[in-house]
Amino acid sequence: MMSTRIVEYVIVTLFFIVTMAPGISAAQNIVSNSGFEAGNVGELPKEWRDQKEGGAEGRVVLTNREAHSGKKSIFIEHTNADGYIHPNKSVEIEAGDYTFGFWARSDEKIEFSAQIYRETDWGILLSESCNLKNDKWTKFEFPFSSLKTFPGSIQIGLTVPGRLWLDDVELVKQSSDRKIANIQILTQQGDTVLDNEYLTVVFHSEAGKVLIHSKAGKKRAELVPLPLKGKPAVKITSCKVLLDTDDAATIKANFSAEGKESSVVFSFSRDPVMEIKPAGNGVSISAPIQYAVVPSFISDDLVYAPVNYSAKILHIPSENFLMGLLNGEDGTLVFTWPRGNQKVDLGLSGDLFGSVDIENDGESVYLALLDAPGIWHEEELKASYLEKAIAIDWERPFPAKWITQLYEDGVKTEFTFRESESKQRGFWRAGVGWFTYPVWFKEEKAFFHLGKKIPPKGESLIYSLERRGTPVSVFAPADILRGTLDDKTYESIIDSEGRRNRSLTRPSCTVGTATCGVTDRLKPVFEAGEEVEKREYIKGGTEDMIYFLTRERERALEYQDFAHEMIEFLTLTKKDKPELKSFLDEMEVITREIIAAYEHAKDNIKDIEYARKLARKTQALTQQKNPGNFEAFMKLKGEWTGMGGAVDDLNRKLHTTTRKLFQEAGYNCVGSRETVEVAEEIRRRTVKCLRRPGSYEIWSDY
Amino acid sequence: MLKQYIKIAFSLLGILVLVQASSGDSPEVIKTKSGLEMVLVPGGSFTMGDEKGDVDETPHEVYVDTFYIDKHLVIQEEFEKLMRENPSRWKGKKNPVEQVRWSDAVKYCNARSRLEGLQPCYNLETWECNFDANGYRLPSEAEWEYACRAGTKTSYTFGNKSQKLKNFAWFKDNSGGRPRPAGQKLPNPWGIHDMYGNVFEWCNDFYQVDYYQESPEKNPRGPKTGETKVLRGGCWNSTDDKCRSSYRYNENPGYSDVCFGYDIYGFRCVKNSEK
Repeated sequence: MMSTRIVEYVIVTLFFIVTMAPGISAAQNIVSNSGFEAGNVGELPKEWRDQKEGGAEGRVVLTNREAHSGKKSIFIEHTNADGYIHPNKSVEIEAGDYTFGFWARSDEKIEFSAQIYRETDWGILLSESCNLKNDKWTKFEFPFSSLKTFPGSIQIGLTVPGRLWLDDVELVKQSSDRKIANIQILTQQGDTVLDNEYLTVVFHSEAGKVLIHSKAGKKRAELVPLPLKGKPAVKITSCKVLLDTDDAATIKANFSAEGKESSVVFSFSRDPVMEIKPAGNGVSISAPIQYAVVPSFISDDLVYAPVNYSAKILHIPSENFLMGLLNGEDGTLVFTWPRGNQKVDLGLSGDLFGSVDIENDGESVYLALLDAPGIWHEEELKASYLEKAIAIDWERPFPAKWITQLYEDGVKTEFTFRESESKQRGFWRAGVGWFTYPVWFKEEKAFFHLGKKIPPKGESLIYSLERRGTPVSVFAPADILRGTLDDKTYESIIDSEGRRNRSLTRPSCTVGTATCGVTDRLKPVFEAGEEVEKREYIKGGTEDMIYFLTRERERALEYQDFAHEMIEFLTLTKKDKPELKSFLDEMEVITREIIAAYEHAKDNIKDIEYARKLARKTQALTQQKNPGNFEAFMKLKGEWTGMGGAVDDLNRKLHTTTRKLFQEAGYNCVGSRETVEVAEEIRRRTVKCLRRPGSYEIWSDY
Repeated sequence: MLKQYIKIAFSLLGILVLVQASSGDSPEVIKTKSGLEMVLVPGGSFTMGDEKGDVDETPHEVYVDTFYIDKHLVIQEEFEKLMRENPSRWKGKKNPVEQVRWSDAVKYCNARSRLEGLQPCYNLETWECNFDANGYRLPSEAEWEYACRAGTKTSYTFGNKSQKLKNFAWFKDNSGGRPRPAGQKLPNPWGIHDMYGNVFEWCNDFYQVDYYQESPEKNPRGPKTGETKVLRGGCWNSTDDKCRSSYRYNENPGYSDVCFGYDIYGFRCVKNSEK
């Protein structure tokens, strides 16, 4: 049963309660050589291995130059921007609650990863992103739970260029007498009732529905087999318990109406997820949904609002993951389903979506109920919010990666709430320039700072998909995804690799990356008249810039290939499906903007041969000292930065327009299933193009 | 037949309106020592802001003294002649200079003052402006809007609707995605070109969202300090709403390294009048 995997893999919950409970006994670190004292300097520590994945370059060695305690620490240096470099260590993990901790420092602001894998199939059990902001040793600590014993692997390392020191790694098992409550199957007034830590599910015979209640007693959703939806006098004629243990339960319910019969098998575990396997062609789940969200981890989520549609039914892309934000801002339904030919419809009911119908294509559908006051929030962005920090009337119920969408360049763009206010105008992005980061928390309170560039327009919908400092007692929607879908599907949706920025830095970088940074560093050399002595350094700088411009140009051309192939696809589809012409025309207009933007910028971005000419001219100035060299260099600087700025700006525009295509395909396909199929293909192709953006297009993991 | 007469009558009326708009009661135009044309803007009172605009456009009464303002945006040819560099992305002698920081603009003002033997207005260490100096400077936000409105009270000088904007401005709908040579569109009623669109124009003032609620009535010159400087008029990439006479924008003054590709910022100069 899939849902047991959630418990097995991730969070079993209650850790919070466990750690708060009295009587926790002293714990023992199960990591040997955790302080890196055993081993020779310059080599790997004893009992530790290292790994360079995905083309990563660098080293992992013991050092005695730095230590949090004792005399040694482990030093990780990542010298290129590809892949992941990390030390790793095998540990035997037993069932129970753990704290995974370590000390780290770096000589610059850096982001790194800490993970625990299951060695048998390399399933991820814990994956945290860590940030070091200063030069001090900093302790990181993450709770982690497991229900089973398995061989695990600790990995801490760098996916970005930089240097990191680690010391005093701990994986400590917490002991506790507390047991997780069992699943119970009861009979109440003749109805079968299932009860676990999160849900109470009533198989209501007379009503002919399965009623899903939160633990607070609030009815959240109702379920009927899709073939019987809307039929009068639906009854549940029988409920057969197929499995009943402390950890899992399976119930088969038979429904009937007007002589028609349909059965559904429900499976439960110790988590908020129910696996639903209909014998017929699907299920219909009724719930008061204010917004339906189709998440995307590479581009922006689709947020469907009933007020934007007049049709009774919306056909939406079936992308294995859907969230229903429940009326009242205190609950979220998370739907997942494995790869297949599933169809998803949203039924409108007044100002809300009243139902989610999923044709399951013979596969299970998973439904989780996440319950918490303020689990999502809608904020009207009033005109009065302009150009000032505004504390809104909402507090996050728990730490997580809280996100919202705001207009940037006229396109809805996802922003993650930061943990503190950024410096005024301290945030820069190509195309937009400097702006104040628009969303953050001060303790639990949410703040906005909107301006002329990110304007107060429309509504901001705040919700979370992923963990970030989230207590183990809380399930994030991404946990449900991970626990219910196979690893391959999960990884393809979460796509951690695709969310990282591609490297624009020359592997043997001499001066820097982009044209501005490099020429800014070369300027004082010319100013001081040291260009002849520092000839090699200047030559290296020009090579850095050629590399950067080549990569940026390649990226712009990737967008062109994508757009031309998309036009071809749209043209062919128009021939095959002339009835979709109006939708396809809209998509073509946006796609043509990608081609037009490139054509428009062509003269300014120039070509690599031109960059080589600039390099030759720049290097020529290093052959002989001349009082005119500085002025000549400053002219060349303008040329270099003119080229760099133009291509940065172009790629930013291409990324934004491609995201617009991704969004509009999803929003405009709702009229027919045929359109949805085409939209799904457009979105698949678009995501492929948007993967691994350059840092001038968008920031990493945005 | 009658239809044709009506068409002709409307066409004539249209031409008349355009001619009116381009001529009006044009103030005096002078030629500076450098050969650039400046319009003498007569001092007076006006309602600054627009109640239909953004929250930072609260209407209020303002008086400004008489001053001269460049008839045209500073073009690349002029900028390069004086500063020996042209930072613009969209090269063209007659195109407005762009990719200029506020600080670049005020350096140009000082250089132009020196060229004509005038007292430079800016202290390039503190970036403070000496408004008593007789040299060139950036317009205060109030001066800019006063010159832009040219005695009109509507959202645009030609009315509240934007249909005619294409006759007066290069903006999103007609620019083709780039700035255009200065002076090709119809001027405002005081004979000043490109006040709407083409490039946003740096003003001297710091930006503050609620400044209009505290600004002095006579010659307001912006808050004493701030993070950003005011830009006005909209640009080639702006929608019609951002080209309104009262629309306010703002940007970091030190910003606009060409790396960042901001090709929407330019400027024009003003100087005090002895009149």
